[in-house]
Amino acid sequence: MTSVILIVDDEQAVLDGLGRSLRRPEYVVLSASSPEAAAEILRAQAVDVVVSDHLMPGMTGIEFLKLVRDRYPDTMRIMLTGHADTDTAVKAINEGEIYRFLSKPCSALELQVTVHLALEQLELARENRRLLAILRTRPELAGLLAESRSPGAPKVTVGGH
Amino acid sequence: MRASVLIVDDDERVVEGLERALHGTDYEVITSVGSWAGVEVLRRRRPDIVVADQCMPGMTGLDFLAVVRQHRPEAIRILLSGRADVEMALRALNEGEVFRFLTKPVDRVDLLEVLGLAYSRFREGLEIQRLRGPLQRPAGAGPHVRRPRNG
Repeated sequence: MTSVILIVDDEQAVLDGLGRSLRRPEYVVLSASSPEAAAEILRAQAVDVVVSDHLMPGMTGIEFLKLVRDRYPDTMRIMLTGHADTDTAVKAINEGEIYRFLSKPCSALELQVTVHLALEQLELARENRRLLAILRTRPELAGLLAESRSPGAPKVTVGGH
Repeated sequence: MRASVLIVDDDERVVEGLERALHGTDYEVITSVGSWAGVEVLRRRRPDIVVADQCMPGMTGLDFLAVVRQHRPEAIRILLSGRADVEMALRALNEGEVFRFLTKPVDRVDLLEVLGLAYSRFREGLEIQRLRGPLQRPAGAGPHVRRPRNG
């Protein structure tokens, strides 16, 4: 299955470099040179991971990632900026609920690993949501689900010793 | 069910202030003055949410939250700091995977909002854990699933 990654930066050279770093057969990498263009892409298609710069004309990366969180909470959010300051970092955590905050220059390997981990977390979160949805509509299946996932294993008592 | 919140700070006045802020709410407040004492409290009380101050002698708030992550991975971790700096904030996110980063002084309304969000996150995690069973995530034992890494 291919994953869709959207990179957002107002510098074309950065977009090109990030695109090269993430060139893999299992990724579809889209790029946008502004948050507005990125928002349009998000409206048109599902995106798994967004990697955004912070300082861009019009809208900051934080504002954009907050918007992504509000409208597309399933999309994993990564900040990549050369202008990290305390306020930005704290807002990114508290308001953007971002997955990682990377500083430029960022090695190709660091970016690849971070995106890979974000995709893993996304997959887990999606499976969890599916399970929760089942549980909420069919609560009587809860015990069965837990058992089918761990045949023969003892049940865990959460919060106990 | 009442949510339990562990507050850890080396400054007694801060601990008392936060305790007062939560007085009369639905939260069961557990406090510890200092991080080493907090480890024992964590083990005994197994709180749902942990709020730890960063600047504590001996063991910083991030170190303490790393212990929380290892021994009570279900708990939602919140870092509190009087003097935030960018490096600390980035470590809190990238290595500590904290839920929120609060700066002092903490406004009561903000605190209650953050705790409310943290508790719904905690309950969701609990539900998921119940569904996934022991194969996916050993409860309160062993290393956490994914270690923070740099590059």
